[in-house]
Amino acid sequence: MNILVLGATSAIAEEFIKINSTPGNNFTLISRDEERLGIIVNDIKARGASVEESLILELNAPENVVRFFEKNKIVQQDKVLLAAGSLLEQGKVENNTDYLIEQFNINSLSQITFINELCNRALISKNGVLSCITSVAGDRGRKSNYLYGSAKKSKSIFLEGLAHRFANKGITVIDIRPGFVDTPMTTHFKKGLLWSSPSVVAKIIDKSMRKKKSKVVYAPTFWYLIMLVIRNIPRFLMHRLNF
Amino acid sequence: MLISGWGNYPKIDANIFKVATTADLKSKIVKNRSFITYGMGRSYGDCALSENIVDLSRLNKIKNFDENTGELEVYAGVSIEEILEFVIPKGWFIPVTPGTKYVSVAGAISNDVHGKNHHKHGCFSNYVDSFELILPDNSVNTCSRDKNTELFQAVCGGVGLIGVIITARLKLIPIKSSYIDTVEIKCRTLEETVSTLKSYKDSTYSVAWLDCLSKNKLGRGVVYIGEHSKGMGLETSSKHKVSVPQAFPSFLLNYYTTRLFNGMLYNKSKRKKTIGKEMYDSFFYPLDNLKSWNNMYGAAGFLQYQFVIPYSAGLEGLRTILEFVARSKRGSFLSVLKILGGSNKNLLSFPIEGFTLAMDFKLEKGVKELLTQLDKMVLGFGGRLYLAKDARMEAEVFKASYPNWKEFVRIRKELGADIKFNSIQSKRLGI
Repeated sequence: MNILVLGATSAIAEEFIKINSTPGNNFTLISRDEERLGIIVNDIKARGASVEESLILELNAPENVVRFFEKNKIVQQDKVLLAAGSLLEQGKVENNTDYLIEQFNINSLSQITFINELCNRALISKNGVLSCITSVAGDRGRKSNYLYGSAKKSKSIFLEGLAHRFANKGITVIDIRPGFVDTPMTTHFKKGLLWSSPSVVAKIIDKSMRKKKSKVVYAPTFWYLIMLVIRNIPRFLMHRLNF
Repeated sequence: MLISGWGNYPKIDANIFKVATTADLKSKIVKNRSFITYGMGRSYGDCALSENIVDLSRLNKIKNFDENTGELEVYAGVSIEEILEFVIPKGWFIPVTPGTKYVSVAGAISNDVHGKNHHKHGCFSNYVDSFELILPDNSVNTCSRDKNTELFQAVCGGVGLIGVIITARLKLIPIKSSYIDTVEIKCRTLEETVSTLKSYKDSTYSVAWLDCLSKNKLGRGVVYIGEHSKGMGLETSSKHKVSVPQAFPSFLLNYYTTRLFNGMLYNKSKRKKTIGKEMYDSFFYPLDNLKSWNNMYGAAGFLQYQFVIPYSAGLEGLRTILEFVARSKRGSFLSVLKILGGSNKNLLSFPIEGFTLAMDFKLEKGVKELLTQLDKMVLGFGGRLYLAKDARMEAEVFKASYPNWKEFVRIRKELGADIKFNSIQSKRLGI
């Protein structure tokens, strides 16, 4: 089976890759960190799976993605996981438009472009599965991270439309919305009960991709209930809350 | 961020840097004035704690494995659990394992850990062919018994104070089964426990659990013997784990409940000798099934006290210490006795030929004073304490019992490691 992972060096992606590093699986890995990619490639091979290619791509500008597809010949994929992202600083956005554009590109536009190129070039097989990590942050705009949230939400809407487009055509589209995950991206956060490990989230992603059903997956499931509440907090009350 | 070792004591506020590549690590060496490396956080005390911590847990990858020879090359942060899940189905096993599978390879090397087979196979370092070490000057050095020998002997057991291990080559042992053939022998007295352990010195694995609380039957216990089984498949374990919550009411763990538990453990089997078969993980890692069992001791944490005394101190030495602990009524929930084989050439490796006993003490008033008394007794018998468990030993005790400490400090100074790598423990011990 051909598996492509964008953002292959993210903690969740690495766990997903580990689960799937079994003989017969053939990976195409994309990340911006060359040394780390090399480490992962060794691990995959030691575990008996193969690596078609490992490629470097910077997502800060969507043109990079277009060029990437012109330059590299990607084989048709059975499974695709988009796990790239950067946890931006909301405070920095408010007086720095260049930063806003760059971060929105990394977390949304470049990835949407990537999916679009995959679809237009028919690089997802007939019964293929595409899943993309978005975030519960996209479920409601909050002052502490609304750029991150809006980038994630824009991906969610794109995925929703894509799932509609491919409905009854064999291709599955899954929107993965993790809650708090203990990754290098969140090292400086204080961890509590609501936090999950990357391996737990990766297992949820793997399971939902095997089920091949287009849907939104909250990871873990209890985030569905939390976000149901948060989405329904009336605006007047929300404006009095500080989170 | 607040962080502690497995004993939940001490808790310190540290800057934690996770590294994912050699380049990452090198930049941390340049940027930080002083730090210590951290893996799975299973050292009990403060040997992996410092104001700045470089966390190697993301280096949890396999580099290469030769299925025919059992040679495995891994990155520093890979855990024994991950190694076992990977190699057992292929018919291989890790030759020396501590009592938990949640330790990183770099941690196992840095503490030169031992297992239930020390009397036969020695320490973890015995099966390390070589490792790559990054020194304070950012140079990468391959160390083995033949190459950079001095570094190899300083790093194995050197609690992360010489350099940072980035990869290691290990030699595994072949197995036919992931099961262990076991023998359990109930022993009524300390003499019996010790002589039973000694009589099984040709068996691969042996360990004894001791009842340190029972008034009249002090030192009674159960001896567990094990050999790799020859049949029954190569499965790995995926048992569902029960977790102890952080807010566990630690008053439940007191003198009386501990006595009750010890009595139950002793009386579990009616027979003198029980022969059985166990999955590898329930034989080697019985406590791993109770995830975060360290929380049982409450927020204040606990101290594990593991010492070794030479055979010359003998049974009497053990008895003196056990009686002293029993009188304090601060007995340990679980006490483990093992026989250790000879020492190796590594400068700060713990084992010497003799008896080693590990006891847990809930951290409460008077415990530190009790342990200071024990230190004196252990020193008097010519013994020493295990750095991987220590959070409180005084420098004089350390220096009196680890004669190679001066050589270790000399190497540290020569490399500039005394400036770059420091833990709370290293500062306390004056190395």
